[in-house]
Amino acid sequence: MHRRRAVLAAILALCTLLAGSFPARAASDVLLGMNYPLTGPYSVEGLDQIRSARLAVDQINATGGILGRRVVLVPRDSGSDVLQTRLNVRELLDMGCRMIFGGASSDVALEASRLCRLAGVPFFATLAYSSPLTEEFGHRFVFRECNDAWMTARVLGPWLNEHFPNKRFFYITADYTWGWSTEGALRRNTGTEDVHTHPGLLTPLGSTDFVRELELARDAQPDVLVLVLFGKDMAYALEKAVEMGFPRFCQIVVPNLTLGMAERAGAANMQGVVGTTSWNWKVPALLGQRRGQAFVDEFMHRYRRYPSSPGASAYTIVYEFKAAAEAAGSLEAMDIIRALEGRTFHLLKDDQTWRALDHQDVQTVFLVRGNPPEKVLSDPLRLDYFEILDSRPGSQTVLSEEAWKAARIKAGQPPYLEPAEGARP
Amino acid sequence: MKAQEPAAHLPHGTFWRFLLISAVIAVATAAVAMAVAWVIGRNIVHGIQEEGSLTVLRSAVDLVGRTRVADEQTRTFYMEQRRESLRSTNDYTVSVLSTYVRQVRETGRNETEARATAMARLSEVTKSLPHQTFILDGQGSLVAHPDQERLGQSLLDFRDNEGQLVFQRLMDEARRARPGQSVFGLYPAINPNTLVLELKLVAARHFDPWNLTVCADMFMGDLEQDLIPRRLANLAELRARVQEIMVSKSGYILIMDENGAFISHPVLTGHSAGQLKDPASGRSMEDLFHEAAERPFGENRFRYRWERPDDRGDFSHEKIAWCVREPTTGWYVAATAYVEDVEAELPRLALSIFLPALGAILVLAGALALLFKNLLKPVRDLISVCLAVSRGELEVMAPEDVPGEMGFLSRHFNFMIRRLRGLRRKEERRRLDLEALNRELEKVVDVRTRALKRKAQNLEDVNRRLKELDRMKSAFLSSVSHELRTPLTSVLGFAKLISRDFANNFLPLAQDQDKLTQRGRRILDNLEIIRSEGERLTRLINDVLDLNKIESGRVDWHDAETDLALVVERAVAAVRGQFAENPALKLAVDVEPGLPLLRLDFDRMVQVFLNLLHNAAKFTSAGRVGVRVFRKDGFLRAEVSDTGVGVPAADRERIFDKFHQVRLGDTLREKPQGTGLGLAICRQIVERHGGRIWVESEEGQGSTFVLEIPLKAAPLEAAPVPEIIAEPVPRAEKALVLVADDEAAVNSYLTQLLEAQDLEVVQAFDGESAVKKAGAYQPDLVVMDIMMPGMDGRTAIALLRRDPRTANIPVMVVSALPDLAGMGGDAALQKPVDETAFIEAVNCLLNRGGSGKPVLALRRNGETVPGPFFALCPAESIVHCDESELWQRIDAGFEGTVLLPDWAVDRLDMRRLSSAKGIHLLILPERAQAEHPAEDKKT
Repeated sequence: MHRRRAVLAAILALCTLLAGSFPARAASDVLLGMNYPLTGPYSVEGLDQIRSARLAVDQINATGGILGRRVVLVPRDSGSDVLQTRLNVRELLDMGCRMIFGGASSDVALEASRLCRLAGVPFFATLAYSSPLTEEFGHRFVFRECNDAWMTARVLGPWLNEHFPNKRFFYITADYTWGWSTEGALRRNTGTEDVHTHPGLLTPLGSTDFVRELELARDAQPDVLVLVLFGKDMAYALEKAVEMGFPRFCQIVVPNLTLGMAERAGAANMQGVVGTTSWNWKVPALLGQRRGQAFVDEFMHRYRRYPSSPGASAYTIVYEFKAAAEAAGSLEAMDIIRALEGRTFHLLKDDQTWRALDHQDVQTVFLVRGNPPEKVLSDPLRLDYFEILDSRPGSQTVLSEEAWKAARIKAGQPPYLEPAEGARP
Repeated sequence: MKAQEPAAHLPHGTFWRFLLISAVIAVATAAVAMAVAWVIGRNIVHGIQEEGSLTVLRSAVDLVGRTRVADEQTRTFYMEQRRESLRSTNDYTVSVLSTYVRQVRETGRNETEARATAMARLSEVTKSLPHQTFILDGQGSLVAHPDQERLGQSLLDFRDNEGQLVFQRLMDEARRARPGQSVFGLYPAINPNTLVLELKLVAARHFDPWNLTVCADMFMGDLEQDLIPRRLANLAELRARVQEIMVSKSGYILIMDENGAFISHPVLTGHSAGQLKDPASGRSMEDLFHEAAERPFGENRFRYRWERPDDRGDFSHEKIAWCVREPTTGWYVAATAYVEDVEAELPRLALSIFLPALGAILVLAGALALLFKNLLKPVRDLISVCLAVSRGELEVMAPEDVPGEMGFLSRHFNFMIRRLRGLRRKEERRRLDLEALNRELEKVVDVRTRALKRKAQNLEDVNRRLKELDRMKSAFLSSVSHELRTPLTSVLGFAKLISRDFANNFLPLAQDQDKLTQRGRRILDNLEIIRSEGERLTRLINDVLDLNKIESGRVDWHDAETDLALVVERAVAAVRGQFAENPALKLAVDVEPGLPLLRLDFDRMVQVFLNLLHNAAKFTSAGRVGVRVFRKDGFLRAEVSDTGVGVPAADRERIFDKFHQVRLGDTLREKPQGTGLGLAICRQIVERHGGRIWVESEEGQGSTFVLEIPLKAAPLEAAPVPEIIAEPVPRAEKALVLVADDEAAVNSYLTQLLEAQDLEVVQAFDGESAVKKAGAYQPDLVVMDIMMPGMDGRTAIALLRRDPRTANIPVMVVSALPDLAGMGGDAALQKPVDETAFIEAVNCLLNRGGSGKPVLALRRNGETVPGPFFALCPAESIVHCDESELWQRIDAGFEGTVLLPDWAVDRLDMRRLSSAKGIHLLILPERAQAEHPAEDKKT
């Protein structure tokens, strides 16, 4: 009896599992594929993305879906791995997803972008700061919701120039496209291109041990330590750096900060760390933005957390897809792309524009600094990690048209986004 | 007692009413408190439950998320294991290659030979390796492969199903990778075991010394297969953990996947929720969950009816569920609780809220009752004090040692009582004083009353006496007048007789003797003085009698609609002669035209104006006399002004008194004229008509007599015009006259007069004999005195009239009595008898017409002189005329008899009439039943 029941249970479980993997859906459902890191080095960003995306989809379904069709979110864990991404995105595309988004790694984003271009499905990079994504690898199907490395550097640069002029920098950089482009942009914007005066080290993605690099950095005695690291990597490195006493003699800069990273690094380590973020849960309140605040409130109620910038990006992407589809009155890729190109919207913060030139979301970027632990802990959710120091509108920070075209030509690409040839209808 | 009853019950009533109301309020409040406690408790219970459930729900969601993470991590781990195994395979291959390279470097072995040996060996070795291992040279050609046939085959052109150059890219990446690192790729291949196109994972490592790319690959399909048990284990673990969670005693967590299948449910795991329906709403459970999950968090609850795990089949239990989607899996996670469990503690909670409230209410009500009772006690005390006070017992006092407003009230009430006491004492004293005073007063009043009574008695006596005196005075006046008139008649009559006889008989005797003539003239003068003085005396007596008549109200007033203009005209006409005598005196009359008619006694009013005009003429030697009549302020005003001596201020009122005359400067030289009764009579007349009369004067400048009569509109009365029947009766030539008068002198006088007229006279000295003689002699005329001893004249006349023999004999009354009308005579003459008038009257009565003089009869308003008098007169000789015509005729030199009705006497200017030459006046009585011979005035 017991055995029979166990067998039955196992069969049932299997069925449900399979059903969970391939849920039976109505043909009219709008599938949104999400390739995000639930595991791996950037898992902290991935969780917020899926939470926000789920929230957005639930809200949209509660209010009638997109063009009257229910929205179904199909998430896949990438683990920030390119191969897994390839598998996931292919699967998602095969399932007929109308749009792919998510991801916390530029490599993953590039891979997804590549696959989506082939499939003729729009891809929205959610957390991919690497400049090449919209430059040499840019195409009509890829959109970047977050700021790129150049925008980061244009916000961080002036502050560093003001507070640390002619000081020595030391870069520890994740060894992939994001790290390279971020370090490059930052060097250019802080005048630290000279690698002898301002040395830099590359570390592989997913590193957990930064002792060697940090020791070298300590030996160099820089005034500014730039950790071009992300996710858990950044947390490990920062922990070690603080342990090694870097904050006592130098300013630690992490170009791209998110709430999840800060949480993982810990309030004590985060204190005084300067970086940028495209969004922060305090921004709607700061701007008096009710829509954004509603998002923050609902997220807070549901998950007992504040949403982070990747979460906000995922949320924005889902809503922008809906807005574009409804503006175009169609779910066809090219219709949506055309609807998005040049579109200015206002959702969770001030105005944002999908620049038609390179599909970069031109937006305000905030300069933030880590709060002291007591400040962090005094928050009801103990998540008040950042103090907003400054903000710069996207028009001041975004890569100029000429520079973008130059970069395209240099990479052997036409100085425009190719027409969507090969697009699948 | 009756008044006390409600008052005595009031305090108790108030208290019990208060208690009752308090109880009702307390019960109502308690009920409300219970309801409120229930609602609050319910909200609290549900609020707590919701908070708890949401927290549990979050934990469950977290648990599901972690399970998914664990699944993914397992997959990653498996993947990593595969990679690691490929990587280690590559590492092994590389180490083998490295051995050969070292041999070449250290032992100088031929590199080509060594490389070929290595490839051959590796190709051999890989057959025993778990993964397929192959080596590509710099050009992408297979230099080592388990399958010898494929050696030398280039993989550079190998494209996967997307057209990607998999190996070329892999070689590039491996070349760029860090030293010792493998890069991974995927490519599709047919699994020889399953004959299915599967993805193969390939790891590539660049071997720098010989520019080789070392690769190892394996089929991926195994991975999912390997993961299934792990995932099932994770799921079982999740289910076990989730089912451990209890939501509110017997509630539970359930998990439903996107297709509506229960992942975890206490009894329905594996069932589809889409087939389950909520018995209450009839909706699919799946829909309910979906709908709730999509609502904002916190509003994601719904209620439905369900069975209990311990009570299967009974779907009457209400459940409440909170549902949310797990983000990573998209599963629906719900925390469900039975409402009965949730509300299990509600009664206790409500009681815990309600009981303290009830206690507080009871304590408060009790305290209020006590307080009110205490509050009422002083009120009750005060009420008893009030009752006592209202009964008048002021000795009681309200207790003052009460706090607050009641004390204040008591103190002030006592203050009032003390005030009342003070007032009562004062009142008592005042009462005593008043009583004493009353007694005094009673005494005084008694005394005074008695005195008053005495005085009243005296006054009454005096009044009586006065009345008596007045009556006596009137009687006296009447009798005196009568008594005076009778001798006066004799005096005047004889004086005239003597004068005539003397003049006729004696004076001619002395015609040649101047002395005698002189003496005779003096005698005649003296006789004239006697006569005139006698006439004056007669007028005085008449005036006195007239006034007396008015005062005593014995005058018959003949009010009629009268035009005052006519009155004035008549009066002015009467005095015109007087004014004519004095050329220095002017008379001006100004009467406003259109004056309304007034109800007045015409004759009396004429008398008034005559009097005033006479006075004016009398006191104005030269100057002007004016009469003005006009309307003023609802009065008709008449002014008679003169420019004479004026009236001194002191006399202005007194002149209207009786017998008062203005004293002029020289009393000796200018004796008062008139009787001094004129103005008094005027005032009496005017006031009788509701008017008033006064004088405005400035001494020496003149005076104005003003009279005002109120204007009273009165309808005109058409005066009846009586028919006049004049029957001429033939009269015998021979006549016998019976003279009856007790006074021998008068009898003799009258007899002489009649005999002088060639009439036969029979004398009688009393009424009785007069009647007898009249019967015996059958005279043609009887001259009868009234006041006679024995039978008076009146009785005698009556007897005569009764006797058929004498009934038709005319009777002329000659008496000193003032009122001769009604005596029964046919004509009347008042003593003293005017000789001429007497003869005239006798002639008239005898119808002799001896003088042959014409007769004028005055008529008024067409009313002619009535009565049988005209039978005595020759009809042809009577001319009826009105007043103005009368005067015209008189002015034109008429001589003869003028018949005047009684009313005309006061109206006509008698003075002027009497002053006219050759006129005999005969005044007829009002009613012509008896003819009275009128006064005759001869001048």
